[in-house]
Amino acid sequence: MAYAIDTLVKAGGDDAHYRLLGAIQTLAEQVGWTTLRFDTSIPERELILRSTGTTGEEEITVGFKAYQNLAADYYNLLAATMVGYVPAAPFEAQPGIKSSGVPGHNQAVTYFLTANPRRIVGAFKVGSPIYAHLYVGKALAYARPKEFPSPLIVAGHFEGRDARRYSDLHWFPYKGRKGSGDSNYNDGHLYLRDAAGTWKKVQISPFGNGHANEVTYASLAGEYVGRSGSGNRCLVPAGTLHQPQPLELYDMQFGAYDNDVRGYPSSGNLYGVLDGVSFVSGFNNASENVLQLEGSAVIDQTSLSVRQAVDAIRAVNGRAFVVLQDGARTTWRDYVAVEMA
Amino acid sequence: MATFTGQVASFAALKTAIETTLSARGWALVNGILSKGVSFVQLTATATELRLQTGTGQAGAALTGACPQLVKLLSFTNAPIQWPAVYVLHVFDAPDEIYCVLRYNVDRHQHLNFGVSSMPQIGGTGLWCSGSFRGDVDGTRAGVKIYIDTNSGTQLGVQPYDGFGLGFFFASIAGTYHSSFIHCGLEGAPAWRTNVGGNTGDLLGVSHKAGLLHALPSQFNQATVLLPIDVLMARQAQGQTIVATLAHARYCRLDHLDLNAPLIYGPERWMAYPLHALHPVQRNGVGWPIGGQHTGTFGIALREVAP
Repeated sequence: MAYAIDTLVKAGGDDAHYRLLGAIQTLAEQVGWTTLRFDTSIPERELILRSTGTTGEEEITVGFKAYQNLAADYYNLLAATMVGYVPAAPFEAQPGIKSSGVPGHNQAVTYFLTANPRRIVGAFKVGSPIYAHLYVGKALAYARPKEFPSPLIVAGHFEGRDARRYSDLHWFPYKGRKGSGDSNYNDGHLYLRDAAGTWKKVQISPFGNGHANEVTYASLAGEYVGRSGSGNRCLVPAGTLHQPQPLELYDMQFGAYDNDVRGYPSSGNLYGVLDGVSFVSGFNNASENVLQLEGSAVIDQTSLSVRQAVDAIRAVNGRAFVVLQDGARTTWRDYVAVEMA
Repeated sequence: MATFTGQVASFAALKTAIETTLSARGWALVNGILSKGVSFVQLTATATELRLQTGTGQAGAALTGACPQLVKLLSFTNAPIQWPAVYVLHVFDAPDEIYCVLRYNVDRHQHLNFGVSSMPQIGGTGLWCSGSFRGDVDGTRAGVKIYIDTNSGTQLGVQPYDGFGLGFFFASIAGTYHSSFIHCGLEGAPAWRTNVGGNTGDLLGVSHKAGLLHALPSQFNQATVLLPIDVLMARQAQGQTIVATLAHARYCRLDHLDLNAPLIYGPERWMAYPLHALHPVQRNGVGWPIGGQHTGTFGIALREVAP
């Protein structure tokens, strides 16, 4: 278990997004990931990592690749999860690969990342600023271990290596299918590799709560701006203590109306839960707040940096959650908390 | 913490069984009122009902700060209880949660339960109660029906226009006789929150779990998942707050389960019960206006601990 919070600047050296690859490698190796490829000799630098998971008997392969365009002024990382590794094959031709672009920057990037042997999760702060999230590795399946041994996830902001900039339209991956009523919403870019081996977008509770074709309704992280009615609400804390909620991956469909029962048949799957990232309300909250749960003392965070606050909370055996928003969005339902552990 | 079971031949006998069991486990029984910490609970048995009322204190044989609504078990005209019946009591402390399940007429179930929320900063005592019926349901009418709304806007929950409220905060925002209440101090002075609806201070029912409950059991492994029971309250300005998460009860779907055997997850054991009665075909229940005499495969899992 490890976490890393820091700011990288170009400052005459490598571009900041290049340097991120090194930061990710350092973090991952601290928790037992091994580097299969780290090629800095090419313009689109590549990092491929493998872990044996928390059991020591698994094979989890993830990768990051820099992709940039000077004229279009974007400097991004492509996050990827694979089902194997072939040394002779190019990055994009690795077995079972699925990827999603994460907006970065060449001048400066602040990163909030945490890793364990199962996954790497966190976000970058770039530009104006926006917060760009990623998740590679495994989720935790709601199944006996041998029923669904490899619930692989890749999550970012773009469709593959989309030629977009951090300032373009995009969403963080955690709202999932039908998790937002924003115009042009693209269901986000979180992909689960299901038990049949298919990469697919899924619905994510509590941002989503409906069936496959319905925009979110009556969920804990419901849409409320400009709306009224009991189905359009968002979680707020009872007082000052926030209530982080698990991000659960599911799909659900209703069948044809059955007049005999005056209702609809339903079917679906509740696959599991993301590890290390939770929904948290944005009420009385802001990005880079550090929420403390548990611990022998409540840390006074006055004048502490994010990194210092996390360190202090963990030093009293507390749990530290860094609050991070969806891109540039800041309504109540636009935040997650990444637990730095 | 323990689970107790036995057979009773009347509501009076069930009342005695509950009071005797709790008295032996840290609860005071004074002037007919059970109390422990912030919990004050009065049971009243008649030939056809076992009523439960909660309060914030007691003066002699009377509750003070009593909840204006009661919850109850009810032998209703359409399907009277054929005594004797079997009860199961799941008793927990820290937090105090008491679950009484009455199984009768082979496969029907009714529930009566209460407990204390451990959610910080909610004000009030956090005492909650729920039962299969609200206290003022008229059980002499035939056709007590269960309505489960599964269609528009993916909402979920019972619609008790004249009958089953089902308890466990399994409420839709439609219907009158909801039967799950909590004492809470948000949005005004501490008070019993007994209304389900869309106004500030109302309870919001189970719709926030609709997507997950309809997704279960998972097709890929035929398994159910035990889902937390979060008691959700409407706040001002389109906010909502979880004012309680029951520590020892979960929602679940009963498809593919053997209800006579515990669900075992590592060291944990859970017993699953129908909300009222299991119907494996009409698994989402029967909606308004016809209703049914069952709750499909919607169920409750209660933690089981050997006595």
